[in-house]
Amino acid sequence: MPASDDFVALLTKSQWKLHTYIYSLVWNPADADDILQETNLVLLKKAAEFDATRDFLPWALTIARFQTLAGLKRRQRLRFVFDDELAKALADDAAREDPVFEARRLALATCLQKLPPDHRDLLIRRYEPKVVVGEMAATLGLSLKAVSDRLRRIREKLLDCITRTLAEESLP
Amino acid sequence: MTSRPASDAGSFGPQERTELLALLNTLADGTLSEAEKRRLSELLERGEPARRMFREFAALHAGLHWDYAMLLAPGRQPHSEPDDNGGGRWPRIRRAAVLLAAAVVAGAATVAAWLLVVAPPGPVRPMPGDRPLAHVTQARFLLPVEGERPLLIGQALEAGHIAIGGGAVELTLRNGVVIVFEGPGELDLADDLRATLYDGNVVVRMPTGMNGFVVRTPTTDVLDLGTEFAVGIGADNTTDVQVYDGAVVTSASRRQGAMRPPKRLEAGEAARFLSEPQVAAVPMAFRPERFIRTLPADVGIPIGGNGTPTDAVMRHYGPARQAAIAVHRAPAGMVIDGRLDEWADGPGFKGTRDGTESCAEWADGRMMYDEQQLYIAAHVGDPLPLRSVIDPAIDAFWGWRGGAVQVRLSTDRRMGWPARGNGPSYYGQRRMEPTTDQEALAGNPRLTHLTMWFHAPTKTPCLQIANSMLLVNATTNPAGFEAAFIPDADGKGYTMEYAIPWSLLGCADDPPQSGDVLAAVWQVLWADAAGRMRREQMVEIRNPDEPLSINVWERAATWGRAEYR
Repeated sequence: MPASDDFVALLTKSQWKLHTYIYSLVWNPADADDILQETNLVLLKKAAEFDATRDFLPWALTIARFQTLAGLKRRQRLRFVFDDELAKALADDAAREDPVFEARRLALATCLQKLPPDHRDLLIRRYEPKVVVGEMAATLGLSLKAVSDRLRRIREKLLDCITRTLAEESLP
Repeated sequence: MTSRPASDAGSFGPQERTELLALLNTLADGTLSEAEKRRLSELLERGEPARRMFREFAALHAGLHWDYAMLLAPGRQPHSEPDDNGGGRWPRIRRAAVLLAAAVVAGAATVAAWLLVVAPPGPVRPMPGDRPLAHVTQARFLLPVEGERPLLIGQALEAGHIAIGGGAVELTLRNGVVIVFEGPGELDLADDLRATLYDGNVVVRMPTGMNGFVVRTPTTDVLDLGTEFAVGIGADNTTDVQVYDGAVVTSASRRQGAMRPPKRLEAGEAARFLSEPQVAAVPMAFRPERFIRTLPADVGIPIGGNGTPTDAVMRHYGPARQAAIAVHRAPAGMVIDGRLDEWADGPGFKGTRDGTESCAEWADGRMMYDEQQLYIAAHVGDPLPLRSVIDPAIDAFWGWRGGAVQVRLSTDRRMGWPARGNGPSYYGQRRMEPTTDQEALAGNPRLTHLTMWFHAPTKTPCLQIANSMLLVNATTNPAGFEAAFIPDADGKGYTMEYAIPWSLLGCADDPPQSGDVLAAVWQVLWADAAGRMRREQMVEIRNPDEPLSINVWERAATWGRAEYR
C-alpha cells in the first residue's frame, strides 16, 4: 500500500533530523546520504506499520539506527566510536530534544550571516561536496593542521553564536 | 560491544568539554587517531552532557553539509516543511501548455517578433545599487504571451516574473551572470544569485571566479559551483540538469523538503530528477545540443524580412486554406519507403506557409487508410530539411521543436465531426473550471496527437503518440509503426511516409470506415539551421468556424474534416 500524504509529509519534515542523526554515527557525507536514502525506502515500505497516534520521529530514528548499523556493516566501515547502546541513546536524545535542534538549525542560518568573509570562504571550501581537508589544505598551500585549526575556531564561534542566539530568544 | 554503566561514569567538566570539542573537530576533519578514537568513546560515556555536546557539534557539521546553500547565500533560511503543491481534480498539466496557448492568442495581433513579455509587475523587491538587475541582451523567435507587457531588447529588468510563449531570450545580470531562457516557459528572476524555473529551459553561465547561483524548479534546487549548466523542466515536472563546465550540486526542492540527498554533477554529466521526492536521480547521457547556450544559435533564416519591428510580424498560425482532407483507401501492397509512389495524384492538401507561390516553406499532405493502418505522407518544402536534434529518447515531448509534422485526429466514430474536447489550457486561459462532462470529453482516448520527425544524429524516423486533449499516455517510437524520410535532391525539402496501425491509436476494434467524416488537423513546423528551435509553422485542415486565436492542440473543435472515402 502506498504511503499516505500525511506519512510522506512527516517523512519529508524529518529529513534533516534523520540526516543529522545518521551523520553523527557515520561521519561521512556520502555514506550519510546513501544511508538516508536507504532509510527513506525502508520507512516508505513500513508506512503501513506506523501507528499514527504515536510520535513519528522516535520510530523513524529507530529505523534509521538499524539502517545505519546495517549500512556500515555492508560497506565494511568500522564503527570506531560508538556501540549500539550509545547509538540508541543518541537516537533517544534526538527525539526528545527535537524542537531545540530545529531552533539550533535556524540559529545557524543567522550565525552564518555574521561570519567574516574569510571564515565563510573557508567553510564554503570545506563543505563543498566531496572535499577532504587534506586536499583542501594542499590547494590553499597550508598544512593540514593549520587548516584544521582554522576550521576548529570557526566551528567554535558558530557553536557559541548559536548558543547566544538561542539564549537571546529565551530558548533552552 | 562495550558495556555501558547504569549510571554516568566519570566527570565532565570544562577541561573535558574542551578536550571533547577538539576531538570532534578532528573527527570531522577525518584525522582522528586510534588513541583519540578510544578517548572520544570514553568521554561520550560520561553521560548526557557529553552526548549533548556531541550532538550539537554533529548537528553543526551535518547542517553545514546539508544546508550548503546557506553558506553560499547568507540569509537564506533552511526549510524542511513541504509547501502546498495545490491539487484539485483537474490533472496536473505542464504550464507550458498554457503559455503556448496564450502565445497563440497574442499572435493573432501584430506583434514584433523580437519582443519578449514580462508579467504584470508582482512584488518587486528593492535591489541593491542603482543598476537594474538584468538587461535583455538577445532574443530569437520569441513568442509573446497574451496580456503581458512586452519589452524590447536592451530594456532593463528588475526582479520579477518572465513568461515567453516560445523562442528564447538571453538575460545578462548586472553581476555578469548570463541566462539563456528558452520557452515556452516561466521564470522568476529573484536576485543576482537566484531564479526559479517553472517551465522551459535555462542555461546559466557564470563569470569566471563567481559561483553560488541557484536555479530552483518544482522538484530540484541546482546550486552552481562556478560553471555553465542547463536546467530543463519536462513532462510531469521532471527536472533535467546538464553540466557543460565546472560542477553543480543538486538537492531536493524546498517544496519537497529534502527527501533526496544532494548530488554533485560534474562537467559532461547529466541527470533527470523525477517529481517523486523519494526517487533518486536518473543518470542521463550528456547531449551538448539539448540546450541553447548562446543566442543566436545560428544564422538560420531571418524572420520577418529585414528584422525591423515593422517587418517583424509574427506569423505562426496563419489562416488555413483547406477545411477538409479526403482520406482514400490505400492500395494493396503499400511500401513505406518515403518515395510516395503509391500516393501519386492522390487527394490531400497543398499550401505554403504565407500563402504566396514563392514561399520556400510549403507542404503537400496526404492521408490514406485500410482496415489495419492509417497512412500519412507529406512532401515538405524546407530550406533547412531534416536537421532535428530533438532526441526521441529524452525529449519526445518537444519532438516538434526541431522541425516536424503533427497530425491530430479523432477516431471516435460515434462523435463524428466536429470533434469535441478542450485541453486544460483552454480553460486555464479563460479562468474557467471545466464541468465533469467537459473533463470527460477532454479525456477521450480516441482523440490522438501524432508528432512525426526525423532525428538527424541517428537518422531515425520518430513518432510520438499522445492521447486525449490532456496529451497523456504518450508513447514514442512504439513497436509496429513504419516510417521513412527522404531529402529532396536539391536540398530544399523532404518527403516522409508513415504507416501507423490503428491498434496504436486505440481503435483497432472500430477503425474509421468508408463514409465516415471525422476530425483531423495538420501542423507543419520548420526549425532553425541547428534543428533545435521552432522557427515557423503552418496549420491546415482547420474548421473555419473556429476562431484562429484558439490553438489546435487545445480544442478539438478547431480540427477540420477528414472524409474517409
